[in-house]
Amino acid sequence: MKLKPSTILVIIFLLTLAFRLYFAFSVESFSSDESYFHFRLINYIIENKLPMFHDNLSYGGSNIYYPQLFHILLALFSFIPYFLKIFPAIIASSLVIVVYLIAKKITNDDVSSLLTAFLAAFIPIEIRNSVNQISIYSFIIPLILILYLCLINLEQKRYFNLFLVLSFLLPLIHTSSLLFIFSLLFYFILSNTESLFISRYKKEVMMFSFFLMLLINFLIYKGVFLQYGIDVIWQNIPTSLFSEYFKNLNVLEAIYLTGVLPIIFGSFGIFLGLFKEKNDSIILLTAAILTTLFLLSIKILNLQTGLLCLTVFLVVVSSLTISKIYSYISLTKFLKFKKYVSLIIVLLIVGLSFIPSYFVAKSLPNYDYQIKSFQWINENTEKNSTILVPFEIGNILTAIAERKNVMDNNFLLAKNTEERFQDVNLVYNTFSKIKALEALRKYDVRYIYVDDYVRDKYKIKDIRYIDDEKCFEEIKNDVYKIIC
Amino acid sequence: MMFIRSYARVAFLLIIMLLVLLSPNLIRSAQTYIGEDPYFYSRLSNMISKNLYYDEMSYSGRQFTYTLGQPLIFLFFSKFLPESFIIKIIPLFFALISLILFYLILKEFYVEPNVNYFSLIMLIMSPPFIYIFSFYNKFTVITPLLLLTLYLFIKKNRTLNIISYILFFIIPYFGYQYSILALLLTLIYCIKEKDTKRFYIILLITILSLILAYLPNIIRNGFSESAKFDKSLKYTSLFSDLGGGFGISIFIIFLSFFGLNYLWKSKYKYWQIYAILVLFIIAIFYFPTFIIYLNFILAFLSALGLIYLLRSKWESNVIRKLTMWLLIIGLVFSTITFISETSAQQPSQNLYDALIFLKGYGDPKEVVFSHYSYGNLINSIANKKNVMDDNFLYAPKLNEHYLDSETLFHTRNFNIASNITDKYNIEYILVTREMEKGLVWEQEDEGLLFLLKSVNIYKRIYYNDEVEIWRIKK
Repeated sequence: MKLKPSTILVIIFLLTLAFRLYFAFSVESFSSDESYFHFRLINYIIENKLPMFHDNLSYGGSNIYYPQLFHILLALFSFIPYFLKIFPAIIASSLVIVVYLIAKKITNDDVSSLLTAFLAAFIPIEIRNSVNQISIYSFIIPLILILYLCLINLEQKRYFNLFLVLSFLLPLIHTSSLLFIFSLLFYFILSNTESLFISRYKKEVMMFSFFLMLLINFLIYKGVFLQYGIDVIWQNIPTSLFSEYFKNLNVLEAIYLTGVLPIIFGSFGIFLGLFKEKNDSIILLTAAILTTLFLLSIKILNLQTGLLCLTVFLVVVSSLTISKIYSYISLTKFLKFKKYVSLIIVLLIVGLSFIPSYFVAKSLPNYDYQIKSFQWINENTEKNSTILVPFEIGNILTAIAERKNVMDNNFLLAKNTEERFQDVNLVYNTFSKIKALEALRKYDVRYIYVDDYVRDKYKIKDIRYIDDEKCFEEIKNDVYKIIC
Repeated sequence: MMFIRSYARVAFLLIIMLLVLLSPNLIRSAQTYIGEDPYFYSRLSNMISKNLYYDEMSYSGRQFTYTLGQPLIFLFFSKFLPESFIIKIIPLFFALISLILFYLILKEFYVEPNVNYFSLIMLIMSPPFIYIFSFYNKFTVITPLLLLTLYLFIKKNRTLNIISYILFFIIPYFGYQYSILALLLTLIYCIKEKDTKRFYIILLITILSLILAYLPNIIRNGFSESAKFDKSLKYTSLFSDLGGGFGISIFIIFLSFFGLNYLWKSKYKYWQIYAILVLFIIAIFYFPTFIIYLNFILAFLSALGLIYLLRSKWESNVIRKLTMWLLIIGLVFSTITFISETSAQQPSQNLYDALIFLKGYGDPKEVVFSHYSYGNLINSIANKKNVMDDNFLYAPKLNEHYLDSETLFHTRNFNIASNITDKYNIEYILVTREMEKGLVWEQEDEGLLFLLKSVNIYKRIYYNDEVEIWRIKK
């Protein structure tokens, strides 16, 4: 029995969805601190029927400049049980369908497109950033790919309409719309250098999309731009954290997360599409890759996000290489082994993408312990109190304990991020009780949270001055109350 | 019919101009003038009228080495007009004159009427234009003067040319940099017209005038000490949408690219425009305020771009309409944002109240220490001396004042602080929220802020939501 391509695509989709749901339901908590930021915004919308513009808990109270259409959309499904576990998984799994459609357009070959979709189903870095998480990128990346798909098929009315609608929606979801408009510029430049004709119609639509996204971004971030100017690109990240934040992964780890196949197939696909065939779709995707590399090089994109985008785009371009392998084999005496080629590629994907993805998913952080502690804090501490936790779990604290933090990873427009970062480090690291108390009083901190995660992060056995019972009372094995 | 249409066009331009330029003052919540320039020129014109040529207030005493043009014009108007009229209304007349001159200059170069008209609209809506003409500042007079000079220079009329030579002679009295700008622009024009002889004439006139205006100062005081700080050109200040004080709108820049694209179809025919653009881009690195004059070129280019977009054949009418609307909304958005930013400029009501309090407190002409951007306001409103202000040209021991100020701001050592306050006879320290939030300090209780709160020699004598004044007990 021969399966239809659409059936195989559905099977791939279900396979990746099952994979994601399995890991999502194997732990109670989400696997990233950032998920809890989105979790709070979504819950706020569900309760108040309005987006959150001011956060009373983050940094002891700060304004939120974050487009919240994504959160509104997820809030619409709040009537479904476990919707925050299920829907992000469905959205992330939809990547395979979009990748298949673009690959089909590039290759006009079902087998190559399906293999590309299978490759897209298990990208280790994508798994790391989306499994068991409420991740904006698992929504944004398929959306950007749909925009590319529309741009490739612009002659068709439905794609044209979809492009207009998504051009409007994308900037309302995330600043990644800037990546898209930059890629349009690169596409324009690349097409000119390669003497590739872009139809007037396409140029017009690109221009419209460019101005629309630019304007909406300016409207949303007006206050931020006026306050920080172009520095907003670096998101007010504390200087000391900046180098760490953008630290270079070692090459082997980067290859492991990206997957060997997208790098090899993708690079060869670029070579073929750009220099041999002058394929319009490949030029568009190459522009997206170049944009990502450019934004990475000037450190606008952090390494995780940059690698994620890069890998997804390389996966799509890989379709051309895969189809060329089949075309080449058809011209040789190995034609009779063609069916084995598919098997080899599937095995390669399993070995080099699926298995690493499985281990990546297995090693995702588990915050169940912190969740229980923060629930205890929620029930046993004063409502207005400030709790000191490292910024890496600041969002979990505000979401679960519903208490103020000193800092979290929402640096944009936050107050004195550098000073706060130094002060938090000082409290956990210093020998001096006086210095620590000075810093703690500055933020009106009532409780200090110290668990194994914190000890491991600061490489300490315990806070050095915490034994002073006149000043610090252990109210739970990982929570200390400041009493002096 | 044509008359009615052109009449309506003029009326429309006038209405937009009035609306845009009056808005910053109308929506301003503080009962103060916008910016420090009005106060500064008011003080200088008073000094000139009293024949005082030593400034006791700035840097606690310095030679009167300011450019004379702006305060003299202020003085001239103050003979028969109230101060608030000069500061708020006179700029509108200069704006109107500038628009007319800009129109006439474009007409001289045979710019198509529609492009000319749109250029004026773009210009009116541009942030630099709003900045120049919504209150009396250092650019308000020199801008129409430069336009007039260039217009008279390009006219094929000997009498008008001679008048332009006189104006070339006057320009250095508003600032040497404007002479450089005028010379460079006329050089390009003269090369285009193959008439370099006239350029040599104005070069001679300008050099002569520069010598007359600056040589006495140079002989008396040597060359001005150049600031070793604040040198890096802040690229953000070039774009109003990114928080620049009088930068260009990003949407005008994009439209200008379309204008350039249109001109490029004729390749090097319009080489002068490209030359002027390159010249401005280079000059802006040395004189960032030239962005204001680049704006005139961009107003023309963006109008050209807009008309080019409107006239070019579009495959999709829907996209054409939507894109045009987007561009219009983008331009209006930039304008509105800039108007609201300009209206919120210092001095705020709180700062003004604090300075008025200081004026009535203690002896006149005591020294007040603060960030140098408040220096002119301390002189003009509080009638007290400052340690430093932003008139760097010929400022005495400029870099020493700056280094001492920085040391005082950031030291937690009382002895160091005390030595500096004694050195400059500082009696008061003025601290604003703006200083606490990045202008000077990044952290709470940093440097001097810590000393003010912990050493009892410093006594807070005034505070409101935005400003604190501390007196140093001696």
